Amino acid sequence: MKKIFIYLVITLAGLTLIAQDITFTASAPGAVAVGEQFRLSFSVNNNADKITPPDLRNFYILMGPSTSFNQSTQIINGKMTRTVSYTYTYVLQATKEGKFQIDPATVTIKNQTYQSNSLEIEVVKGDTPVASGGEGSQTESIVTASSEDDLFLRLHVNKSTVYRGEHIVATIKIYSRVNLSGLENATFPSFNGFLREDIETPALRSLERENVNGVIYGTGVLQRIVLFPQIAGELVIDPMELECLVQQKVQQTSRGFFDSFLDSYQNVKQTIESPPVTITVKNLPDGAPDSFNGSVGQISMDVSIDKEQMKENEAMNLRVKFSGNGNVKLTGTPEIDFPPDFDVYDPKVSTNLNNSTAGTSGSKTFEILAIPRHAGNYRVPPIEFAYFDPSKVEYKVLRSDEFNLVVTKDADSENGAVISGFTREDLRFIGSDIRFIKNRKIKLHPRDRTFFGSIPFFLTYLISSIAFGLLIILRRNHIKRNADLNLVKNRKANKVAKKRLKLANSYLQGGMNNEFYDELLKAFWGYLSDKLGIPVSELSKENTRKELENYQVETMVVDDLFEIIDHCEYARFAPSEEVSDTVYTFEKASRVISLFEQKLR
Amino acid sequence: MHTFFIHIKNIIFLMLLFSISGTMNAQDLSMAVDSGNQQYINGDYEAAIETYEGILDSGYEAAELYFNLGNAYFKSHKLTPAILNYERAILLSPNDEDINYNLDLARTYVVDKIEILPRFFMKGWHDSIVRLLNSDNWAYISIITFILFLLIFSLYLFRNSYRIKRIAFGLSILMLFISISTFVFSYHHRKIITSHNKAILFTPSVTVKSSPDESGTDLFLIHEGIKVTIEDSLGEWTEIKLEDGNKGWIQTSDIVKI
Repeated sequence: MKKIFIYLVITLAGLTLIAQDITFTASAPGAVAVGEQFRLSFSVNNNADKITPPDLRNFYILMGPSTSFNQSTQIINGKMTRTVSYTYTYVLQATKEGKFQIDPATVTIKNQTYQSNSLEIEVVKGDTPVASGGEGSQTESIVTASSEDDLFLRLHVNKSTVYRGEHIVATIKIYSRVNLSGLENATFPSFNGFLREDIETPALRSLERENVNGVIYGTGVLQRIVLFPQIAGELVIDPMELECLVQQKVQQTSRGFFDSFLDSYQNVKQTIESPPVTITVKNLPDGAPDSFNGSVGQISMDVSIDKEQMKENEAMNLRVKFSGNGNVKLTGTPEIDFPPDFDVYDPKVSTNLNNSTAGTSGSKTFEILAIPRHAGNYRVPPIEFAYFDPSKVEYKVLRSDEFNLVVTKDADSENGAVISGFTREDLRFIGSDIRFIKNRKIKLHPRDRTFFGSIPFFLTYLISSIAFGLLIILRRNHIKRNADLNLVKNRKANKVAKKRLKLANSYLQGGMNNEFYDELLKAFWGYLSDKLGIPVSELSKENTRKELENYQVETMVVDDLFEIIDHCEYARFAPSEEVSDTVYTFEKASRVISLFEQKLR
Repeated sequence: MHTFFIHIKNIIFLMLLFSISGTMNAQDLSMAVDSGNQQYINGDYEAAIETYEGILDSGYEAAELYFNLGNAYFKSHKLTPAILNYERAILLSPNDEDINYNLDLARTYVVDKIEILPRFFMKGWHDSIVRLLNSDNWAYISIITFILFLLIFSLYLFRNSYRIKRIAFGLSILMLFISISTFVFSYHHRKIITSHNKAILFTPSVTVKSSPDESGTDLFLIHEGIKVTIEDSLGEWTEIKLEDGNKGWIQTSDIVKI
């Protein structure tokens, strides 16, 4: 029952296979020795109507083609997958040395022709049959102890001269001509001076044949590593150590019949070392841009911002993504000049990197959270990032756009923002209010016009100065004129007085006493007026006496003067008949006047 | 003599003309001031601001007007223009207690606390004396003392008495001294008013640069409402000096002159 079911499945599978993609592959070992037998197989995942093998005249066909059929069905979680494979195998023998190309074979399936891949087989001179971990080695190994040449370890690098920071792919390979049963205790080099990133390498299961200097080895890649040199100079990669378990045939003394079929083997531990590798690391050329921070490779930058308009205290996110091939992992946080009023938090960093034989590629993303604390228009300047491109041997500078952020006031938090700067004591102060407006009559005046500097201002000074000057000039003139008049009067005073005295004398001779005294008084007053510069009308006995004192006339003389004046005035109203008296008065008057003439110059 | 009187006549005429033209315009606007005050009292601060600004736009000013405008701004939560107008008021009327009080209150809302540098004490005295009165008052005092000086000096010249001469001379020299110093004070206060070399920052926050260029080094950060002194200007940039002596360049559009 079960068998029937399986057959049913197989027939059904055959029907459904038509829809599958056809794969047609050729496979053969890469290197063979002359005289060695090897297999060339073409496999296709469908039943072929006709297969045309390529030209195989360089090889001697021992057998073939033999066809094998292989089918497997898998049901996982109800999903069925089937694989079918038809393999056409030739057993060939290499006849001569050299590199031979095996052209693609063609297969016709349902009137469609498919081609396989082409192969290259290197045939080397081989005197010793080769032990191989791979399939199809029926040759007997007579190796009893593996020598240095039979089993060794190599570390290959794809470049031996690089710039600092430029990646190198190191491949650790094992070469063997002996049967290996296991590998143990691999000690990888310390890779001093390098940043090391392992490339995911499939576990070594079988060795592949490879021609090394004319000898065929079974080879296998143990590990692939991406290295980024961090310092310049000659860097040496230390040897790598590996313990191998080598299968050795045990020579047995008693060989029975079966012993020839059942060889007994023993595992021998052998430690192998790879030779040290020297790598020359060149320093980066001079002239690095300011923003260069050690990034090497082909890197691109993408800067984005989640919003350009926000409110106060609202968070914004700036994303900077570096992607490309190179030491992206080492890229530091980009320097972003946020306005100082922003609270900027540490960036969130996420890396998505993939190591391969082409180096490390992927991206590193920085997400920076910033919160503006005050409203305003802000500018986030362009972010600059420089890297060194080793393939072009030049620095490249990437520059993002600049962002203009508009932060608006948050109406709700207006008071809150103001209060934030205060202590408790200040808060109480807010409760108070400004003083009320001035509601009285306001005197407006033109802006920036002051009385100072105006025309009336300077005119006031000018006018008052001019008035003052005029006053002085007028006063000067007046004084001058008065002084002139007084001088004349002064000079003529004596003459006038003498004339009057003469007239008085004639009156005296004539006996006209009244006229005599009158004339005598006139002579005195006129003389004093002229001499003192005071008009006759303003003269009085008091001011005359004061003025004369100023002139330092002796009191006796002044007394004499006033005695005469008194006498004259008295005599005018009470005439005395005595001639001697009048003569005496006249003489006294003449004497006083001449005395005054001496004093009042 | 005759021409002198003609001069005086002309000057009196000119003075009258000035005073008349002044009062005429002022009368037109005093109505507006009253209506603005009324709007303020009614709590319509926005309208009051408009009215007051209208009066200022016509080219007239008064310390009280700036004060009232500042109050209106303060009441409508616009602190920076309030500070600006209080500062303008205090320029014209340096010793008004109300203006000083409101200005101090408004300033407490400014984010930056600046420590004012101590000045040379003589300059401090000079400034505080100059600010005792406004320019006009100093000018009036200067003119009055000048005329007094002339009168007393003429007494000295024309009086004969030695004692009177001595007193008159001393007094006249004193008057001249007062006149000259008040002249200087008036000049200085006028300079303070008209030079407009102080400004208030209006942009919420500004990074002060070391050079008049966007690429200049960031020196420090200042926030709106802060008072700065204008030192120099170049294109769109102005060099400012804070009261603590720090200097730097900012965009001219960020500030408004007092």
